[in-house]
Amino acid sequence: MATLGNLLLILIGALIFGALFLVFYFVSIYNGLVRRRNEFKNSFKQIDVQLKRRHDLIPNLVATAKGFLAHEKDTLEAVIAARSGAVTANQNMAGNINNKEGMAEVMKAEAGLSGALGRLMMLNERYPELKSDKTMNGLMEEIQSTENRIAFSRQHYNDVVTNYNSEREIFPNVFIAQMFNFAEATLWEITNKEERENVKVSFE
Amino acid sequence: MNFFEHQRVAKKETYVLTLHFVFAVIAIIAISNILLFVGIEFLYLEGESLPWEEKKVYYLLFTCFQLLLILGGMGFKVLQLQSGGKVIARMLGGFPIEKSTKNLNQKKIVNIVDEISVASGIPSPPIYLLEGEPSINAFVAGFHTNDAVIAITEGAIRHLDRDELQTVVAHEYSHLFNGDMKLNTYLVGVLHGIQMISILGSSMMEMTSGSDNTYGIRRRRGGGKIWILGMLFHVIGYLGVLFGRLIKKEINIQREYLADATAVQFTRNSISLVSTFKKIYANDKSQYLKCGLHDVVGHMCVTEVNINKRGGSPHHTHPDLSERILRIDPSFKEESFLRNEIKSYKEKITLRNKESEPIHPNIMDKVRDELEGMEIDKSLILGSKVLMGAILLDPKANADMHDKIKDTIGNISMDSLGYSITLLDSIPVEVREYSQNPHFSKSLLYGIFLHLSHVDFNKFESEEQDVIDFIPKATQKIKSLERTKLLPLIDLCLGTLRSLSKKDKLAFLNNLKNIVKADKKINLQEYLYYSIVSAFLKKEKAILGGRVVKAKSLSTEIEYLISTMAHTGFPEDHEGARLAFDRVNKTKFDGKLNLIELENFKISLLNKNISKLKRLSLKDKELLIDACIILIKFDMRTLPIELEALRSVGAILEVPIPQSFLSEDKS
Repeated sequence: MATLGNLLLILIGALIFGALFLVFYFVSIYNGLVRRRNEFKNSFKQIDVQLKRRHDLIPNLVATAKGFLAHEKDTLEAVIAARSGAVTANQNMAGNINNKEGMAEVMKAEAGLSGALGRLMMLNERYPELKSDKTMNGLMEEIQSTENRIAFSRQHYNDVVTNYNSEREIFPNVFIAQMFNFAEATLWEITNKEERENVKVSFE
Repeated sequence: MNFFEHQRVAKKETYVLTLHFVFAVIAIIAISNILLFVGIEFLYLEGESLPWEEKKVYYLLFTCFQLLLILGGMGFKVLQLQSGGKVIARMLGGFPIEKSTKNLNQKKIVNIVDEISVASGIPSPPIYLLEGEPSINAFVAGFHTNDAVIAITEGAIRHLDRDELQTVVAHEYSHLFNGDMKLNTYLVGVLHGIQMISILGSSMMEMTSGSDNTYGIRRRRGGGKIWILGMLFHVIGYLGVLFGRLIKKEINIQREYLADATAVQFTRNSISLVSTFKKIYANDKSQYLKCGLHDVVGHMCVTEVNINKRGGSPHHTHPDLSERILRIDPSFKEESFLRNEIKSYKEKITLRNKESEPIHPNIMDKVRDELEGMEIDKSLILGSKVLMGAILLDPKANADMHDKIKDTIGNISMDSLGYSITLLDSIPVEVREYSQNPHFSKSLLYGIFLHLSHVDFNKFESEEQDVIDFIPKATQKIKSLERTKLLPLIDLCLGTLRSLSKKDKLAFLNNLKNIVKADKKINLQEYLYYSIVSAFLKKEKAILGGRVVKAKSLSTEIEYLISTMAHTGFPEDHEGARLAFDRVNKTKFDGKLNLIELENFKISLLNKNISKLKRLSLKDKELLIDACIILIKFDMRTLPIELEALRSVGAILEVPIPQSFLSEDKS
């Protein structure tokens, strides 16, 4: 016998159930956003790691190349100068994702370094004994791999940021994102013309 | 469509297909339930009706039973397939590439894997090289991301340029990234569960047919009807598996498209992926993996691995190559590719086959680096791969080497190679040169065995004259060598004899056996040397998927092995042997073994028993080696014969035991 009281009870039960469901739903959205935010912050740091790797490799490369390239002092010195510029810029930015000016500086310095490295690599073609040197070949492979890693880490950063951004913009996530202040993340863009031309260094 | 859209489509397709799969399973359960109810209602009860309350209980019980059957079958299969990727890669003959390798080719692979790991955000798995595999392929294996491995064929490394290799690695990473191993394992598991229904049906049929009537069911009412019901179950289960497989195949194909699209996402280099596919297309004769285990890794490879030898359509796990290319490059036209381009790709591949040098596993590099600046015939070392497992004996070795031995099994350190080389150096150059010639190697081995058994033997069957002529001289040389030099010399000779035909190898072994038997008694040293030689010469390419036997069912054989080791360590000292045996028995085998007394020993039995142990799992083998090492270590002194025995146990069980642990004493 369904009395009015019973109906009411069922209604209240359904309401409580619905409310609980909504709470869990929103919590899961919130958690998803937090996860994605941490993910892109982490992948930003990954770029740092790869840049560091590049900076560490260069002294070795220059030392090895020196023996073969006595006449190309300028190029070598340009590489060293560009490296120290990049290292300083990175230190100034101090890994702060919100430091937009610092980030621009880093991009510029790294682009300069890419250019200088590219010129050094071009010399490689002109000096056969340099090209056939075993140590040099090993270093070349490392540099190429590092360049790839830098590109990939930026790309990964951008993929993750895109994921995060679309996650925070879609309905109904957008309410949660606004309520808890999930700010839009910026993509890594190549602003520098020189780097745009020098994204890929090929040594083959 | 860009690759993100491709990914979305493939994921959606997988989703839909998985739903189909789930519905198929539910349908099968429902149909077989209905069948049973109808069967019970009309066939078995023959009109007599039970009260509904009672029937309800039966039906419920049956449904539960059926669910249990399916879940059990599934759980069993999933557990079976869960073994880590390393096991699979090793089973396929993969060679681990170390991250710190100095070889440029290998360094390249390590770097590429690391690069894709950056691009995908997944930590990089261990890498294996499938040496000598001419096809262009790669696979990932393992259930979880953290125990996964990636394996790449030598053909891929040889034929693909750096960017193309990157796309191949990225494709494999995508399988990891998308969790395809798990999905596939579960699908296979469910299929196995459904198969249980068909097995249930067929056993119902068996139970009620046949004249012996063991179960006595036929005599009772309704036996024939149970048979019919069984047949229906069998058919339903069979159809279920059939449809399930079809759906699974479609899912696998979708996962491949997804992996292709994800690979493009990781590398942003669709051009290289297309050219990789084109190269595989052109190379298609050797497109398939030579080694086995297709069921396990087939779906994880870049391309099809399976070939149907009987003709007919192969058991596909991958979509058509041209279809895959088309998805990435919509302008691709198969006819014009076949007409114009394929020739140039084929030429490139044959050219590479001719000119490229082999990709050495890193251990070879180590030897080579080690050898630089050393005055030693390099071909001697590089030619003999056995040396890699070289065991060199040193009577001065003492206790405290337990861990060292274990650590060096299958893992040769630089020290040990340095040591191997110094010991090799101490073998006279003349003898070393002889060991490079197959004829003289044979003579040297004959010489070793003649020397050990102190006989004059002259009945050599099917042996060339110059082998026989050289035997007296070889025996002379052997006699002047120290005992510790004999095993390294055997290794060198075996390395040379590897190239003999199978028939020659067996004839040679037969001759050796006759020498060993000639004096009517066999001493342990002879036996050990003989088993090393025969284990090496009889070794074929690892038989994959061979049945692994549990240690429990081989306890007699294990008893034999451990007893032998105990007696070897304590010649003429029965009490000592018993003490050592008891210790190992207690610590490693829970006291379940019994020492076999010396007078009950027969070398022929030993041989038979130990070779059975080959089928143990790697873990059990490790336990055995461990036990042997404890025995050797037990009395704080190590006899040369003990180490020879350990080495030969290793050779028979096919676990390499290099002897680097002795190098310290030498230096």
